[in-house]
Amino acid sequence: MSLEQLLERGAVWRASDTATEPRVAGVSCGHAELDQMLHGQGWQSGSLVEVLYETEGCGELRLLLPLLAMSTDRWVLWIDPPHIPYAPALKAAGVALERLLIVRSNSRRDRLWCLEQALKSGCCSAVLGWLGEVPQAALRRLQLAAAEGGGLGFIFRSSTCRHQGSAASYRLLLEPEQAPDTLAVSVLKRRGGWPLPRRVLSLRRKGCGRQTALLASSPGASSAQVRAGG
Amino acid sequence: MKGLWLYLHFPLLPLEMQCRADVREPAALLDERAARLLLCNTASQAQGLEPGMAVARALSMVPNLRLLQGDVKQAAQQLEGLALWSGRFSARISLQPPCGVLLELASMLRYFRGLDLLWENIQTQLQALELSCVSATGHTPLAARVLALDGGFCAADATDHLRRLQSVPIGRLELEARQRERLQGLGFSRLGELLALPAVELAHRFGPGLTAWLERLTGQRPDPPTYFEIPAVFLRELPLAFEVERTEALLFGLRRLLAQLEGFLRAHYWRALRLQLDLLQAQGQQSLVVGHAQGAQSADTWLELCRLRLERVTLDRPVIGLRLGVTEFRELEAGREDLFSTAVAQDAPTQLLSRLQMRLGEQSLYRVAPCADYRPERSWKEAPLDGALPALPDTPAVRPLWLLASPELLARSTVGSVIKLLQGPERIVSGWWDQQPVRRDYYIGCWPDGRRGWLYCEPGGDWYLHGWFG
Repeated sequence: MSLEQLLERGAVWRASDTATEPRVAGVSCGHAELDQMLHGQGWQSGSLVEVLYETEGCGELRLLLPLLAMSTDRWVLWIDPPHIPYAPALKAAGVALERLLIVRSNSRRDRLWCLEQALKSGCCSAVLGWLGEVPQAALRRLQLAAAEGGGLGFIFRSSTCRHQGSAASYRLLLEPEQAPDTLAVSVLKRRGGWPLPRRVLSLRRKGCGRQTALLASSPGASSAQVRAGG
Repeated sequence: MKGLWLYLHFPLLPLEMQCRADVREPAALLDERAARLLLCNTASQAQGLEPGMAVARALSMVPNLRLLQGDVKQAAQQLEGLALWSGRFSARISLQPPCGVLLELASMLRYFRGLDLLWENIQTQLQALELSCVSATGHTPLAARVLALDGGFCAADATDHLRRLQSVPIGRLELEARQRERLQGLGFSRLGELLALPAVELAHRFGPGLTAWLERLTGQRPDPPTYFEIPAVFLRELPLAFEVERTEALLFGLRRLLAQLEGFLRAHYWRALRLQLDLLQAQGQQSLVVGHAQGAQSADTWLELCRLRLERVTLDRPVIGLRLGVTEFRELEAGREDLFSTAVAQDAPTQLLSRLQMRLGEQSLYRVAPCADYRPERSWKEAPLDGALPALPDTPAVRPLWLLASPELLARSTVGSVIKLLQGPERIVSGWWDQQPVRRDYYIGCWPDGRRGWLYCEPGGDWYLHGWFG
């Protein structure tokens, strides 16, 4: 196959195109450092974000919390989360539970179908989906659906998928960090730019007086809180 | 006010209600004694069959002819179904047995912005119905009927209609056979020749019946039709001509029922919230409920929802008929849609939610809400999609974003060595009143790779993982 053909199919991304690509104001992801990594603009709407991590608990939800807390009037869909999204913690973090919808599908086919429908409809501010192994064509469909609906899609996959190709506009690899409320992010792919190496972000939110789901930082503090219910 | 009427003539109605109009294979409807053909579809006509032919002869000419049994009661039902369907175009509908529907159009022209647009609209909708139909307008109900039987016509003015009526052959008129023969015997071939004669002479020769008929035709004598009253309840049945074993094959029949439903809803200014679809079988039936959160009228919307619902159904036995009923209505309030919305390609959220519910089942979509209970597994609950969530004060203590569905047992030796305890204990003692007591000390722990988990220790010394700080 010639280079022209590859270019025509959009299989090759040209760094020289970025200058001409129109810049649209994106959606801030709520973390200044991450916004900066994304050209200081956050996520471009109408894109699919692939988040890779090994297992739950590395800070994958805390990374999205500011964005989720900002959405109050439109639906946020969580499709097949691996555990129970814990309502008291989400509420404390300022997420509008009225517009948070959990969807349980029966099969991988249904899951992809739900994601596609939700992204296409354009009536959700964010659609979160937990996917395992999926064919690359499915990811391409999802990216197209996101572009059509103009919303943001977040799909969470295992970090073992990092070497597979993906049609998602953004790919992030998350790794847990020892220091409290931090998270290591490597940008494997982003719109209009080169990949960025691993960088440690702080998940602490400024100007947020409420105690969120962030962890207190004093290790060893063991003030016994005894609560006798009833 | 000038009158304008539309006559829709469905020449093959009893036949086509049982099979598709565009079907390639030849089919024919039998008369009551099952000896002769009553109606032939286009495919069988092309092969030389015609109404009135004996069954044996027809079968010898076309061996693969599909023979269908006619049913008088069913035919009346089908006509009513079409009247419901046409409720979308006019509020005044009259049934014209055996296979015609008359609509009053004059009062609807303004609403549909002229006859041309209305006519175009009707023709597109007729195509979607997949029935062969001849339609004609007329300045009187009878003129519309005569012109429809003569091949169709469309005009707005009475003079155009009168001119067109002149050329209708006497043989096509619905007069008594004896009278028609007499007229033809006298040398009349077109209606125009009859209309040119003085009424007194005609009455003298042919009796007052004919002149009265001609006066009703031209509009000199009032001829108000009996209007069809749209029922307050929608419950329609559609027998299928053959047994259906795959759900996709039901969609064809369903589309017809939904088209009738749309007309019914439009005529009443209602939208339907919930439909019940019964798949009738030789013994028993399977019932499905299809819902739309906000309510919808459009046949297309309902068809899509039904299709999604049907995908999840396995048929126990072959289906021989469909029954569709509306179990919940709502008034259609005007101005519901936002005219000035700038967003493009946006579905109403309810549309998306209904679609997901139909495919996955209603219990697969829920919201989560906090609950007033100290036990972590009971301090949240699934909540339905609409309605307000309970307002509760926030928990002062730190809680993880992920809660495990069932706590995971940890090896005792790992806690404190591999898993470092960062914060705690937080003692939760509760539930002694409902036989599910809880007595736990909760800690936040740090795993070797840096992940944070929520774990607890029971009085016996067992450690469990209960959540992740995701």
